[in-house]
Amino acid sequence: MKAIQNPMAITPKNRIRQPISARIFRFLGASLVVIVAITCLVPFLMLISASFTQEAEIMRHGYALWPKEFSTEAYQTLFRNPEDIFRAYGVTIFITIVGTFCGLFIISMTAYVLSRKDFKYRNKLTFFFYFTTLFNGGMISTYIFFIRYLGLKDNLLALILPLMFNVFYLLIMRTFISGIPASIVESAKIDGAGEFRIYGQLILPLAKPGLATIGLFIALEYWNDWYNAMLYLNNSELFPLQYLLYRTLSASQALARIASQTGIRVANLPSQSLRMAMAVVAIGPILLVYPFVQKYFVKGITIGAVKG
Amino acid sequence: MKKLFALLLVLCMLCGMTSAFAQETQVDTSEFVTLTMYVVSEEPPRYKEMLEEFNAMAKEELNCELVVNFIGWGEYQTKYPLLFSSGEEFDLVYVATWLDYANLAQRGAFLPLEELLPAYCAESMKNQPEQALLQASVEGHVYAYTSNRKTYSAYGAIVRGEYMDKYGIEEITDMESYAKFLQAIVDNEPSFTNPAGGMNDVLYDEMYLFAAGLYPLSGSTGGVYYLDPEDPEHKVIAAHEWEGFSAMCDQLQVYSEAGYWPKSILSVTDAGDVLLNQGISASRLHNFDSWVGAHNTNPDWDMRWYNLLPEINHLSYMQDAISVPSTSKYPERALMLLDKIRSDERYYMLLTYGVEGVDYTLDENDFITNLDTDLFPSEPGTWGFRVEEFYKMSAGAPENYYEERDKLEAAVVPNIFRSFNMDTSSVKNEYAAMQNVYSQYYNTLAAGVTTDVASDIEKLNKQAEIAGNEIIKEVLQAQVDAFFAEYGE
Amino acid sequence: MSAQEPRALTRELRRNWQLFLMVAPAVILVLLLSYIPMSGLLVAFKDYRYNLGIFGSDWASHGGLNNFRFLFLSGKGWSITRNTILYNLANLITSQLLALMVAIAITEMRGRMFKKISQSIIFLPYFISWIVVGTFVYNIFNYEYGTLNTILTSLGLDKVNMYAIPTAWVFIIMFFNAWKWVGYNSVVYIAAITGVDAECYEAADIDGANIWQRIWYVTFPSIKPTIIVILLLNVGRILRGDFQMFYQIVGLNGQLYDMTDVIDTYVFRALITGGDVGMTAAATLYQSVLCFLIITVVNAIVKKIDADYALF
Repeated sequence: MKAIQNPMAITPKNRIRQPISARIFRFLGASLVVIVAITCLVPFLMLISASFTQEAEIMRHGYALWPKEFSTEAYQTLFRNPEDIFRAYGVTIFITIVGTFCGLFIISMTAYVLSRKDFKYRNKLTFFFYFTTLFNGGMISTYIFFIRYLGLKDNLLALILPLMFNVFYLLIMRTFISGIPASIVESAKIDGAGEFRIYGQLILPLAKPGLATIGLFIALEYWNDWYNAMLYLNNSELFPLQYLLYRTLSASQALARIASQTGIRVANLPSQSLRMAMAVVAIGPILLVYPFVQKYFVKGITIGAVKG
Repeated sequence: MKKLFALLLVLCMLCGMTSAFAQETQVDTSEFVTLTMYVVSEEPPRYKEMLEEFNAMAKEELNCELVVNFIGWGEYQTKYPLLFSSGEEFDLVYVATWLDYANLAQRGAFLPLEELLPAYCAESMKNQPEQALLQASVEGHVYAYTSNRKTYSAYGAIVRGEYMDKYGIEEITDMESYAKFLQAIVDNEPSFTNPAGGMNDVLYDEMYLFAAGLYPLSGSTGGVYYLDPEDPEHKVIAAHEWEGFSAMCDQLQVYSEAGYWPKSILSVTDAGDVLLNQGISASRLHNFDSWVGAHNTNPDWDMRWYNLLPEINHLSYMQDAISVPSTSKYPERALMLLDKIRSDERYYMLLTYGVEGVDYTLDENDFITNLDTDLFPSEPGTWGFRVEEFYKMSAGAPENYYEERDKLEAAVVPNIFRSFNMDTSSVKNEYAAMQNVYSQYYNTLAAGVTTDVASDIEKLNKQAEIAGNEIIKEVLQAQVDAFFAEYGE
Repeated sequence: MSAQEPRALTRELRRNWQLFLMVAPAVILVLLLSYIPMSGLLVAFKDYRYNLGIFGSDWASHGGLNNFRFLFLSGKGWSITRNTILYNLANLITSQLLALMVAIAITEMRGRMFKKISQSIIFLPYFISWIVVGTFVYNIFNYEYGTLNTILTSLGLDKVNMYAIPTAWVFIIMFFNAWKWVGYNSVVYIAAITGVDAECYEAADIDGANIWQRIWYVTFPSIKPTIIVILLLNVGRILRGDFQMFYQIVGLNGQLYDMTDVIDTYVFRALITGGDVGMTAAATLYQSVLCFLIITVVNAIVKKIDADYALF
């Protein structure tokens, strides 16, 4: 396996010889990225700023980049029952780690099999999996199946199982693994290696960028999932973070519609600044994790020859 | 002598019968059961602590305990119907007209209660009006046990009184005088960016319809079909077919142009009461209870209430009720507990207001003060078993509360159609299509944001016809006629 | 099954038993979680009663198709289908193109810090829920004090009522969709690009290719499988609109419906009151069947061109 020059690395050679076309390209590219980054950053900054702004100010003048009337009332309200938030963090972290690990394992293993051109049932099996993305039995039958036949009410498994195996990720993973030259697998088999060994010692290390990508996606799905929690959890001690936030975020929207029909008086509707504070609280940890994952996009290449 | 003997004999027989009857309703409470109740609301942080005290009592006196599950406001549309379609077993559930009660009842979601209520809720049934049982009837069976508290269909203006005084507006009696108030605000107080309040409340168009004496067949706001209870033919019409519709749309457009509400009002998602509390709106069109709420939230302001409807009715008792789902394993025990809650003040106060001294205090007039609404606000999802006897008036209530309430009571006229339950299942497709037509074409007219009223009304008419307006009206008219034949004079 | 096939299966099983074992967990999971509950599709054809359940309820009228009628009754059926497909196509092209350009720009960039930071920043919109985005949109476009109108007035121009210009919202939606997904989508492309064999780049350099040629002749072809898989996967979802996106951005603003209504929002509004289980299922089934037809055709075409690129 040859040592590969990483197009993402900086080498002195590139620096010296820089034709105009490259500079124009890099300039345009950088401009594009900067513009996109600013469009992405500004709303986020406004979100943070709004979380530190007085409620009345937001209602009057909308969002701004810097809080006109500074206030921590949103965070104070949020952390009034900090046990709820910390517990929710704990639940979310737990199901994210367990789910991502299991999901990545099953997906990568299945993707490996599907990438093997000599596996006769490759296409049929792929269609077997893909079909489930087209047709869905609907919320009710899945709900009944989970609650009545699997008995998963108020059970964290109900949050982990549905998201573990995602066919889209399976197919993307299959594409990544297909990029590994078949000759490597063949020579390993000639050496007498079993499939599991090939998978564990050969495929996994070579598919690191793929694993990182899909792992990230699965983790994000778990982190953001509130739907399964809404369906299957009644016990507030098991609420994951996003569900806790979702209940408060959507509450005021639905309530507004109902209030007109029933005149129900509600003591405390969550305010706009509270919404923002909750969003910040949910996003924070993931932003810290993402840079770690980025490492794998560079690392994978230095391990071995991975043909595109 | 013979007469006396005969009387004695009859009395003995009666005693024998009642004791036999009493024995029949004597349910075996030797088995400890856990009853589950679902309500729609957000769970207060201190709820579980309160439940501990509640269940200590329930265990001792009824040998049961209660588990309450809350379905939040953001998810009730998904989760609530799912309760019934999934076949989940639970024992009590909050029902209401706005939670599609009639539809669910027609599809077999609940147990019929006409025999069970007198047997197991004898105590609280003493205070239950006949009307309430009638209004809970669907296809001849009573499927819900409603609250017995009278509420009013009065919609009116809740206004910042100090601005009325400031600009010399003496009274608001109808939409015209209300418009004068709004004009004064628009001209002089630019800090109110949305003087008339949000779109999620009673739409302004509905005030016109209600004021004209039209009653919505759906029983609440946001309906499409109306009838006039005073009309001897009780003809069913769609809102846009009302004779005053075109004039109303013109008027609303004038108001919108004048700036009484923002141009982008259809995209405003903030609730009217929030806008009022935050000083974005100077007024709001809503009902009587909302006025009390607004007053309580802002004791420094002079919140006034002006009823805009000449005639009002008692709202259907089915605005709030409790039902027993058909999947319940312990309907008798559940009803016994419900009876206790409605007749024994200790149980009622715990669930409704919390623990005395910790969550609330009562003053000498029996007015209640909540100690911390963040931890335990009043009535978390308890409207289903709200009873007049135990209902506590808030200590911060407006001084003229009872005066205004009496005025409302005086303006009440009977309206049998309040007991009418609309059944759209045979025309559900057309009804769904009509809802979309209204969402797309009617709402813009009602918000006054159209540029050409006449042509938009044209479009609305055309689309309504395509959607099957006539078919729906036929079906509903038949139901109305049948209902009137049975219950009208 | 001919007489040879069962023998072929057992032969295959014996030869590759380990591979079969490897897919077993996934197969079981999918059978349990997706295929068994699929019987719920029936509810679209039934007149559902809560106390009778899915199988006990009667068949719907109109030959079992009663639940589908509301989609077409108001004459909107075609327009919402068309809108859904067009929006998905437009969004697919714009968002993937943007993500691709950004991915290439980032991978060709120098400065490790710059790369990492920009990658993180563009990911941020993914985390901002559509509910929050909806409030942002309102803040920008509302007539009275929206950001847009504030800028216009400060420049001496007239205020604009965006909510009365339905066509504008097509572009607004496309913009926000691309904005939300650019970070997420680019991750896959970045991962694919880092997997490109540097030998190809060296060869291109030797041939004297400039950077544009290098990207066109080396990078692109190398990540073609990834691009095609992603395009195909998205085509398979072409009838499913992102409900939250449309609902939060457009809201209940009827003036905009002709241009922005998709199947999911239409169904939601139709079923707000008297929401009927059968009708929701019917709408979803309608979307599923169309997706199925479209992807089967497209996949077959792709297979003809190059079998390696097909999904199945």
